[in-house]
Amino acid sequence: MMRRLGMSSGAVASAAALALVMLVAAAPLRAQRPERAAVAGFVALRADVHGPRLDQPVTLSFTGTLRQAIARIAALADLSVVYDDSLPGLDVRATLQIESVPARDVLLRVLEQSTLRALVSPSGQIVLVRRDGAPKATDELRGSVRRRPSRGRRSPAHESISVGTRFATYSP
Amino acid sequence: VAAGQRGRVDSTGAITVAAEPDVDRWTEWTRGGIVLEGMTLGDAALELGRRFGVQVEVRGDDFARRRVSARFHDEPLPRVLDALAVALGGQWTRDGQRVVFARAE
Repeated sequence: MMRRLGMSSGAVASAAALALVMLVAAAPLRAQRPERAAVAGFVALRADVHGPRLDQPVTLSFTGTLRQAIARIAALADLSVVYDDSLPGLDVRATLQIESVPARDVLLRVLEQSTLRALVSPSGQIVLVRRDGAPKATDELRGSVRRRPSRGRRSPAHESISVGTRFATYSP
Repeated sequence: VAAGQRGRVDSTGAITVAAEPDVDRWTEWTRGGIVLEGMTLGDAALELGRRFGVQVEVRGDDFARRRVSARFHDEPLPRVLDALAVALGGQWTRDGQRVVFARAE
């Protein structure tokens, strides 16, 4: 294959080295790309973001809505938290069993499976926003299931949709 | 009233006690904090105006009807406004004691 393309082993090595250099060069560029929501100094909350309140250990045994979970975490760590009340997913049920975990990590954990993400300001304020690609708030759910007709015995179908809550249906 | 409960006395003097999962919502003010719970931006502006001794005007009826939830702990007014602006896609300006909060252009 290499011979047919007219590349010597040296050329292949050079190309590989160049590709490696490009990969290495691209990595910091990707890291330096500004956050889409980097407004007024707010950046995405990540595990390596620190601050006195974000590092505050939280102990919590909780079952309720995501909205209530955020409120409890904020109260326990004296965090300032703001969000648009119409954001989707705030009323999804959440369960937390946390013992002495930094508030930052608890927030990341509780938001991990949600449609929301947290931004943090240089002073440690948290703003919840819609996660990129998350569905917009709607009362309407549309979808379709297409299945290629099978020649043999029809097997049962199981379809599930997860939009904040979970919906599943079975056909015989 | 026991821990985790909220007692209420209405205008007729009737007392009701109910479980309250978020007691801090009602006691945060004693620690200098501000809790805005599902409040319209217009009402939030009035509350912030009272707390910080300024007049906060929200431009646009639709924008003023947007609902916001927030908890602020010892935050100065500019930081409060910054966070609200990021959460709601707004912007603010201040001229003396008058703050104007509007949808971001």
